[in-house]
Amino acid sequence: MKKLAKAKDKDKFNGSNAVKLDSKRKDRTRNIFIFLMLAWPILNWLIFTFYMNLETLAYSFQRLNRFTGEMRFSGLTNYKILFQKIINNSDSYGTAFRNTFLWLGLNVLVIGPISLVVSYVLSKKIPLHRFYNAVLFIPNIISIVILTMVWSFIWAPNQGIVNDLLRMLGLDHLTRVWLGDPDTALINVFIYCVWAGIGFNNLILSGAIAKIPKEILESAELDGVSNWQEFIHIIVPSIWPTFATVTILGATAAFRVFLQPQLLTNGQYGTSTIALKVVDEVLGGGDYGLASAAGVVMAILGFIAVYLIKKFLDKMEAKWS
Amino acid sequence: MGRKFSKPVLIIAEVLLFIYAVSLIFPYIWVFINSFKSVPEFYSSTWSLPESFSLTNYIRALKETNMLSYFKWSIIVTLVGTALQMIFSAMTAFVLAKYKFKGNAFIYSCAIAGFLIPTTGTLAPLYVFLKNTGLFNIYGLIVMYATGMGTNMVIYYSFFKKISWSYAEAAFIDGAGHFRVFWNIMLPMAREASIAVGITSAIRIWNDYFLPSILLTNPKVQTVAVGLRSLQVQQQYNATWTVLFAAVILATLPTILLYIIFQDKISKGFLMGGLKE
Amino acid sequence: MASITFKNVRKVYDKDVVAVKDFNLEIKDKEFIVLVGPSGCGKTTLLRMVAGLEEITSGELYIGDRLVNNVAPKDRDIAMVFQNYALYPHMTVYDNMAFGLKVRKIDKKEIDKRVRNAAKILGLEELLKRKPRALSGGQRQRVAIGRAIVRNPEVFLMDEPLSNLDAKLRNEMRAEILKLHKRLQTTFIYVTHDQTEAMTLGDRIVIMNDGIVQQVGNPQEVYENPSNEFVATFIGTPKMNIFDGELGKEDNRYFLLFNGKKIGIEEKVNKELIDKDIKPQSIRFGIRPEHIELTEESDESFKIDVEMCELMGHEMLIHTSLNDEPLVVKSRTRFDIKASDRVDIKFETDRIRLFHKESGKNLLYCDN
Repeated sequence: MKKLAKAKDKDKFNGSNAVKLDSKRKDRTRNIFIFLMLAWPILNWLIFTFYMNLETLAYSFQRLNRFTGEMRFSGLTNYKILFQKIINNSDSYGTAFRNTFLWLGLNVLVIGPISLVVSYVLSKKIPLHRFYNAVLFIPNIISIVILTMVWSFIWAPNQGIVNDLLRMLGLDHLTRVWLGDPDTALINVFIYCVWAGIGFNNLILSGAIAKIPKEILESAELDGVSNWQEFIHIIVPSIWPTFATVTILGATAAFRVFLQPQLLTNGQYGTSTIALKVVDEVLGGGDYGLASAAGVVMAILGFIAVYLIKKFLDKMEAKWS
Repeated sequence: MGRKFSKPVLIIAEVLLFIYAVSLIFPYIWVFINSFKSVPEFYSSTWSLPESFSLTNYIRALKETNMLSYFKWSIIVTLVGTALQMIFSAMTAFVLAKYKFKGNAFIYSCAIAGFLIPTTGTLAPLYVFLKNTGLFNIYGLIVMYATGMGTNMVIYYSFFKKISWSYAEAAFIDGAGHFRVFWNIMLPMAREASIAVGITSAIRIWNDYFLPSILLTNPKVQTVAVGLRSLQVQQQYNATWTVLFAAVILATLPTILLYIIFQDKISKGFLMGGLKE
Repeated sequence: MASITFKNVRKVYDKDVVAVKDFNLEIKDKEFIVLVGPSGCGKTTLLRMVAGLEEITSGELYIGDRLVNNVAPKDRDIAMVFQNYALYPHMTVYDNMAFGLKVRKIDKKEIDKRVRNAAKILGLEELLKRKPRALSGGQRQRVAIGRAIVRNPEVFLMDEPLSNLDAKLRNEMRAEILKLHKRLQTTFIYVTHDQTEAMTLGDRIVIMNDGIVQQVGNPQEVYENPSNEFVATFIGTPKMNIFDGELGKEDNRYFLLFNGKKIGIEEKVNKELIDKDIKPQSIRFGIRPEHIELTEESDESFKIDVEMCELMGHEMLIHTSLNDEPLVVKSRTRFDIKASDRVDIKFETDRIRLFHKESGKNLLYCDN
């Protein structure tokens, strides 16, 4: 069996047994071809992925000498500074740290499940479902710059759509500077993320729901399921692998969030994230060491969180397969 | 389709989805309507229809801002960036999927590992690297887009895996070389992957904000997304909102038009590329 | 009581594609009805209308005395076995069978009792903890049937349930389904495109083509007395041989003019033809392969050149042609014939069926 599989594998690959004649010269041209094809992609990867990650790790143990402009080894100083800042919430590092985990919760526990329900509802081909599917996807084809800009028009303090509506309804006391008020800014940015984030998940999950054999759903219908039972007992288990992927993507994305708060509130009013802190440190403060330490911590925490979530998702999947 | 919804559930679902859909569209309509008003008219009546559909704001947007130049650079960056991304991804994927050699599997897992690590964290060394190599310009941007080991490669990879090698063998017997087999035989057969990769890459590059915002330091060379952002920041001081509205409409119109025309293709492309960031 | 009555039932898709045309049928309680016909003839649509999975465009459908046109599938008290079984892949065999009962909030003990009972009937006791993908095709088939049994429905619907099984298994399952019907004493509606299945299973067979019922009857009737040319050739393998001929009449005696020979018509048929006052005309006539004899040369015999022979053991199929039409003869007496032999054959005249040239209708068929 094993031998057969191996032979098959070889077949798939080819190369050596396809061009047996004059094999040495052929082999050389083949190797040159492989080299030429891979040269640039690998170089690009080595620089921008491999080297950058390694260098980030190195930077996190170094501090910039402001006079000489050189990076010097400094042990765990950056990490100490980072943790102090987080604990004392100086430069709102603590808030940023907390927010990153709130975003994790938002992406995994709110946006994912809402998307799933939306996909389920739209899979019933309710009136206007094509229109909804098309419109929900719009945030994915428009630049985040324009999306956040339009969002800020909606919530602008004067001449903003929401405040205007409130005034028209005589609810003047409810109007506020939505994106400039520590009480509402973060929740507003969260709502933005839900508003703009459902469409993509909906596309992926709808694709998975459409692939469930229709006889399974009909069979459940004859079995007499309610919509809720159909959703929980048939739909969710059937598309669990896809939902797991969507969830993992959301979890990973949570640790990269920075554009939304940056563009909507400049990271102020308690909306910053660790990723945004990294960006701010590099582009603003120039503290490369601290930024890199934050980057490393972010990557490690992200890895642990995603790993745990994946464990859970896999356990559910094992139960159903 | 399975079990149908009962009347009340259906009505609730329709109402909620309709409100959501309206919230996604209405702001653009609001921006569109107000883009025809003069600044004082906008301040006095945000909700009325414009007194006249004058194109003043659009002319100003084109003249006073560099909208046309933004468009030019966005188009250049998108075309070049997308083309390079497609070619390099296809090249890498083809070799990894169809040629057996030492390190093949290792390179593939490197690629996978690469896009699992969050890139934002590595900004500091990237910044230093770009500064040292003098890549704070459009060339640097293109170099960074010219990747061949990202999710696009994975899409091509799964396609090439499915194509039988006997086509290549037939071509070899006809006297074709390796590159000709790749370019004239295999790549055309992976047309569906090319469409998916092309569409999604183009949309992503066109809409990208972060990379161009740090790399493009020359104010004369800016993409639409970056240019619009700086316009928005300026508005906070001179408050000519209506011009910004016109600019927003100008910037979104091409994308929306393309989306309306190619909606099925675009959705399919995203679905296939599906599981990427 | 679960009789099923169709009254002028129609199904139209997209406003102009007619899948079922004015279907009328009364299915008796506990009857085993088989809907058979080529693919696209509307048989599955009809079954799905009974299940409630397909809306009825017009007409009335009764289960028992209840008009069910607008009754939801779950309230119709029916169970269905799908062609691809439609087992829930993420549930064990036990849960698959129990699901329909759980959903209906039936007592846990009762569910357990019913599932175990069904498993016993179908020999699934050892497999209750497995997932569908760990089962063979035949086992999945049993689970699909088991899922229907536990529901204790008034009507059992089966949509080509055996088409995914290999030939041997199909024969076994056919016998089991018959046993099951005896045991359960409920109404069965069974859809298939396989006429052998239809003949062996049904109390009555409904033969459909292009959304129209061609004939309803028990297997014997349908075989012996097909209502038209379509039914005649659809039922029976090898199929009935059909030829063009002339129906003639002389002195109150009808005869068949074929291939330059006059074939006498048997007395009983002759009388019927006279009663119905059929005019002499060009017709099509059919004769089944087993109703052709190998014979000595005579006035009523035809010479044929054998093209190919298939020896089946207890019988032999002789392929040839007559009057430029293909002809198959089934011989049970002589097995020594070879290709390119020249033999004489004779029709058993009382077995000849006469069809109208244009409409294909059986000239003597009367619907009782």
